[in-house]
Amino acid sequence: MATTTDTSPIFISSMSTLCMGGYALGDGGQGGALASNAAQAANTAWLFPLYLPYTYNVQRVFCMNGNAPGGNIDVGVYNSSFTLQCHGGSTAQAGASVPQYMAATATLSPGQYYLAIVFSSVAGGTYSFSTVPGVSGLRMGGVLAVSSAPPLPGTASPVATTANYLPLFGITRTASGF
Amino acid sequence: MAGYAAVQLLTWSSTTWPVASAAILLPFSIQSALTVQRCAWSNGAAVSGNVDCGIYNEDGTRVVSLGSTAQAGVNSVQTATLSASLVAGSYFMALALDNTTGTILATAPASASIGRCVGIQWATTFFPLGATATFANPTNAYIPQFCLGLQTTI
Repeated sequence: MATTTDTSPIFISSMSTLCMGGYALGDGGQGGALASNAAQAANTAWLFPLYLPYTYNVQRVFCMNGNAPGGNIDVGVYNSSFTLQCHGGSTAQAGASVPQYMAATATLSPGQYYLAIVFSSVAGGTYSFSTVPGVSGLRMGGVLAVSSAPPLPGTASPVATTANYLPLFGITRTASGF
Repeated sequence: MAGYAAVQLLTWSSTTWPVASAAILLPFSIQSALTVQRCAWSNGAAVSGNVDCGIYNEDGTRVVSLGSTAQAGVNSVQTATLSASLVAGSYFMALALDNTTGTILATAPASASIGRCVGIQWATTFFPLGATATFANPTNAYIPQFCLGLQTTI
């Protein structure tokens, strides 16, 4: 890990206060407990707004797999112009109910980004809110969608999301462990 | 932990410590220097044995620890003096019990592995808290309610 003087959190996820302005937290009453759920759609990438107040040294991306992993996944980060900054690449989803890590490196300057995730199969999935937060709520939170199979495209052309899905995934500046 | 506990809706309940002599380490980051003066944890419906509380650097080296302290006071907040000057950076706050009879208010994620996604680590056979923590992934879905205080009263 980096030195202790790095003031950024070691993990940043779709559930963190930095993502969607803490939407997952503010909407906690709807979100309820996390549970294993299938992906809401295949070959659709979802982009969740992320604001970084500090430089973040991404070493890996991760996805908290559900209890029936399947197909391929990709996790990455887009900048505010929807240019891919880093990603794990199309990867067979493996490991039930554990976080799956993929190497992906980038040094992200403070600013606005999007955490992105895509599944090739709805059979795959993640731990997510068991009581879905609602499409409108996610749209108000800034969530976007991109039609694409894994891997995440280098440049995204997002549209409004139609999915009721808030999966647990994100980035970490740890290179190993966890 | 980036507000993870809030996701869990703060549903705390009196829960026996999951593994005797295991320490649970929760990550936190601070943007400026500060001085810790106290620590506290929430005892549950049964107390037993001893507790330790401390702070570790990211690399697992100990900044400060309380030392073995008798767990006392059911269903109450137990506080102790814990002094440390921290520079801006990232750390782990640690809590350990030496038995599985004593209880702490805790919240339970849906899976122990979810704790990994927010940076929670354990150090097993680590009572009292030692100079260097060997990190391991959590084996139980257990997040204890404890804190570090910047004020002398908690």
